[in-house]
Parts: sequence; structure tokens; C-alpha cells
Amino acid sequence: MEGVNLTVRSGEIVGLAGLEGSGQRLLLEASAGLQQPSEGRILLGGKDISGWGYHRLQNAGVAYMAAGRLEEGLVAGLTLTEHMVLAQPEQTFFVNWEEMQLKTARRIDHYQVVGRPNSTADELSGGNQQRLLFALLNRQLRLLLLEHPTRGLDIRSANWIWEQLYERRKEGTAVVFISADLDEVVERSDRIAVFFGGRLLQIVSAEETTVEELGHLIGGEL
Amino acid sequence: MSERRLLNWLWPAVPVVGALLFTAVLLILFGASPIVAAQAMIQGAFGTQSSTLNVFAFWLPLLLSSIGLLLTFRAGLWNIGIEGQIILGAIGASWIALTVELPAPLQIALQIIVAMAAGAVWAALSAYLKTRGGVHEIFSGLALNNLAIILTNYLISGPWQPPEGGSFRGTQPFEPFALLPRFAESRFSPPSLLMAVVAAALVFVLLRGTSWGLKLKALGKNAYSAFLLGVASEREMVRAMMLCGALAGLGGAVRVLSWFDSLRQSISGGIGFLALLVVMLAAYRFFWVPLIALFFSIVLSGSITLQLRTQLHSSLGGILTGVMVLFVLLFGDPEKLGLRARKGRTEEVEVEEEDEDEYQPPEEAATIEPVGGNVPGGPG
Repeated sequence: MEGVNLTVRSGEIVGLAGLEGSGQRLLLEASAGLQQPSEGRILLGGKDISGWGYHRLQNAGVAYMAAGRLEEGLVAGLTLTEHMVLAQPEQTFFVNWEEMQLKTARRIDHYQVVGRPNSTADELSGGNQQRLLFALLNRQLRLLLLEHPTRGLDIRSANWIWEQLYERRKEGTAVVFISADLDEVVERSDRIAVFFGGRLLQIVSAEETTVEELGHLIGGEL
Repeated sequence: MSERRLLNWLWPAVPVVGALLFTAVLLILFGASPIVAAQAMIQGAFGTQSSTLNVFAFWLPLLLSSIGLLLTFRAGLWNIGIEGQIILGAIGASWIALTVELPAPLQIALQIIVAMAAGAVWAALSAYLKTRGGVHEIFSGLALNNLAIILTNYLISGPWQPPEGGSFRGTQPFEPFALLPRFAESRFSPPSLLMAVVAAALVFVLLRGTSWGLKLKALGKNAYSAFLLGVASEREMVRAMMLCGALAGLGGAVRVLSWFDSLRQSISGGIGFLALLVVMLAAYRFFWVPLIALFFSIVLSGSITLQLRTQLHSSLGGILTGVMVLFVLLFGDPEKLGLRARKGRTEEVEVEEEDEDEYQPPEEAATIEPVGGNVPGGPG
């Protein structure tokens, strides 16, 4: 990848558009600390965070939600309560299961997850798994990175996800997401970064572009 | 629900019973009586007080190792290197026994601490080779097992060779104050039983009640998701391996300090591999581990008498345990056999319609700026 130069403001939603494999995912992973860039810098709030690991960035308020909900996010076979315990920023040595059970019940109620604290993550439907992932986001986030956040979801769940993201935006979280659905990218983003062949070709304002134009752009037609 | 749980809990018995039946049929085909064989085996294991105690003496290091393996299996690690960790524990205990002279309780405590440390270090080598070097723990474990055996052979034929030469390959017997107190004329030492019980309780609490135990469980089920959820996967894997290695090292100490009285050529005698079988046979379930380990001890202790009493070779014990493991691999998971109903998916929930919010683009928060980065801006 080269030529990537992107600044995202707090409270801004930036969509990354491009054909699969054009470099968007690498950019997300690098921003989450899962990949290290061989050259260049990544700044968070003015601080150089190049070379920081994933967990360090997690503590600094960067969250990453991968596309594979049950492969890269949730643990099949673990209950919702167990997920909640793992996602706590600070854990006690002994787990207070009763307290965590109650906390989980409140949290899944708030995030409208259809399931019980004792359900396992793989028992949930795709939409509820995505809701659970949102329920597990504890901290005040500075940057939220999402890969195909609404892929495979019904329209209600997708709308719900975006409500959550608008909530986050109001709190000042910068949201960067990948979507293969160009309608979604144009509708939901403030700005759109267009990728082609491992390069960030240009950044367009979502208001000034159309789905059709974006389709041409990601195909490399300038 | 409760029926399924009961089935789940009782399931480890199925391969055991299956293997017993299979071996019985095998014996009948060879014209031997399974009943006579079973009698000889039980006679061999429990015929006299000392043979009974020896069954338990054999059981303890096996139990310690198996309990340690519960931790590594929980974290999804195949700690094949446990055999080497037992051997290193034995070497560590022997080193103190041969070179230090302290009052008995201190002497034994020091021997045990060094044994546990040696086992933990040996396990840490495997763990770091995995997390830092990308070497699978099975391969590093096998290599380290061989190294441990070579190290034993070097020590007993070199620096720790008995002064008079000796007729067997081993060090000279340790001083009595260095040995664990033994019960009657047997190899069974009550303090070892106490240590095993404490170790088992510790592992039980760690696995059930602590966030660390939960992290291991998450790692074992999906290491990448666990990492993304915030589990420091490499650190926890190293810790699980080291604690397992420490328990195996303790088992090694029990071997040299009560089963034998010196460091011998095959000091572990395959207890580590046996422990792997025990835990697999127990389907990784805590409460089955002591029972299966005891069962293995009975079968192996009884096999020797079996050969003396009947025309059957003592390897029958090995065949029985081997068949059992085969049966576990074949029938160990009731879910794979389709005996458990697939869990249904829960239904989607209703959500209110979205309404978009107005927002003002506030100040700068995140800047991503690799390559060719003469970016203007950056934060103020």
C-alpha cells in the first residue's frame, strides 16, 4: 500500500470504499495496531502511535470490529456473561459471577440483544451477535474502526447499528468503516476515501458524490 | 436440558466401557478368559497392602501431571513436552538432594521448589518458542523431551555417577533426610498426596472462579477473538504452560523422592504421555481426571501380575489404554455423533426506526498519515 494520507476528525464518519482487497482492510488493521506499517506514521490526537500494539491502542480508546463476528470478535461456546467479563477494561482476580450476570442482563437489555446472560455467542443470530459486539464496547472511544458492520444483517438491525454509530459520533468518536454496499457508504459517511489497487486515490465528500460516480471511482476510472 | 447435561457428564464412561468390551472380545478371540485376566489384574493391583499403596504411589505423579495439563488443554495448547517437564523436575530435585544438606523439612521443601521451577522453565522454553518463534508446541515439546532424556543420561553417567560405579544406571541413593516420608514398606508418600490435593484444588479454583481461567478458556476456543476482546494471549499461554510445567516438575520430584530414591535412566517412564491420555479420556473434565488416572494406575500396576498369573503378556494393559484413547477419539464427542440436538437460533428483535442526528464536525481526533507524509494539520 502506498499514498495513504487520511485525517479523520473527532465526530466524523469516514467510509472506505473500494473493491475487496484494495487496501481498506489493511488500513483499518494498521490503525488498530494489528498490522505495522513499514513506512509512514499514524497519529492519534497528535500523538505518534506508529508501532503501538493492539491492546495498547485498545486502552487508548481505539476499537476495532472485524467482519467475521464469530471468527474475529466473539468466542463461540462462551456465554454472554463470560464475554462481558473478558471485555472489562480491568478485571478482578476472582470473578464475581452474580454481579457480572446482572450487569450482562442490564447491558443486553439496553442493547436489545435477544438472548440470556447464559446463552452462548454462537446461539445468537448475526444481528444479535453484532449487537453484542456493541454491548461489549465499554470505553469512551476516540476511534471506532468497523469492517462491514452491517453485512448480512436485516434492515432493522442495520438501522439500529447506525443509530449506535450516530450516538458514538455525538460523543465525539471518529468512525471509520468499510462497506461493500455503496449506497450505505454514500448515505452514511461524511467523507469517503476511495481505494484502488492499494492506493488511496482520493477523498470525496459524501454529499457531492453519487453511488454511480463512486462505482466508477472504485473501478479506477477517474 | 438436565438430560443433556447428565449425558454430557457421563459421556467419558462410554469409551472406557467400550474399550473394556473390545479388549474382552480380543481376549476371547485369542482363547483367553477375560474374567481370569480381570481377576489377575485386580489381584495384582490390590492383592496386598503394599501393592495397593503402590497403585496410589504411581497415581500421584500421574495425577499432578494430568491436572497441569487441564490448564494447557484449556488454553488450547498441546503440551506434549510434559514428559520432559517431569524429567526436569526430577533432575532439579536430584540436584538439590545430591548437593545440599539441610534439616529434613527444609531440604525437601527446597528440592520441591527447585523441581517445580525446573519444570516451569522447561515448559517456558516450549511456550516462548511458540509465541516468539512460531514453533508449534508439539514439535518443541518432542525435541525438549529428548533433550531432557539426554540430559538425564549425561548426568547419571557423568557428573552424578555413583563413586563405586554401581550396577544399574542411576545416581547413588539419596540420603534418607532428602527423601519424602513413605508409608509403611511402600513407595506411597502421604505428603505427596497432600500436595496433589492442594494442586488439584488450586487448578479447580483457577479454572472455575478466576478471570485467568476464563481467559484460558477463551484462548482455547478462539485465540484470535480472545485477543481482540483484550486477552494478552501470548502472556497467558506462557503462564499456563509454566504452571503446568511446575506441576509436572512436582510430579517428577515425587518420582525421584518417593517412587525411586535416586535419579534413574527412565525416571518418568512415560507418565507425561500417559497424563495426556488421561486428560483426553476425561474429555478435559476436572472430576473425571483423578478417576481415570487411578484407573490407569490400576491397569498398569495389575498388568505385571497378569503376566505372572496367566499366559498373557503384560502389554495387555498398554493395549487396553491405547484402545481406550482410540475410542475417545472416535466416540469422545457426543455432539459429533449427532446425539445432541443442534441448538436453535434465537429470533431477531424489533428495533425502532432510526432517526438521524444533526452534528457539528468538531475538532480533530484521529490522524492516519503513513507514507509520503508531509501532511498539513496534525493537531494543535
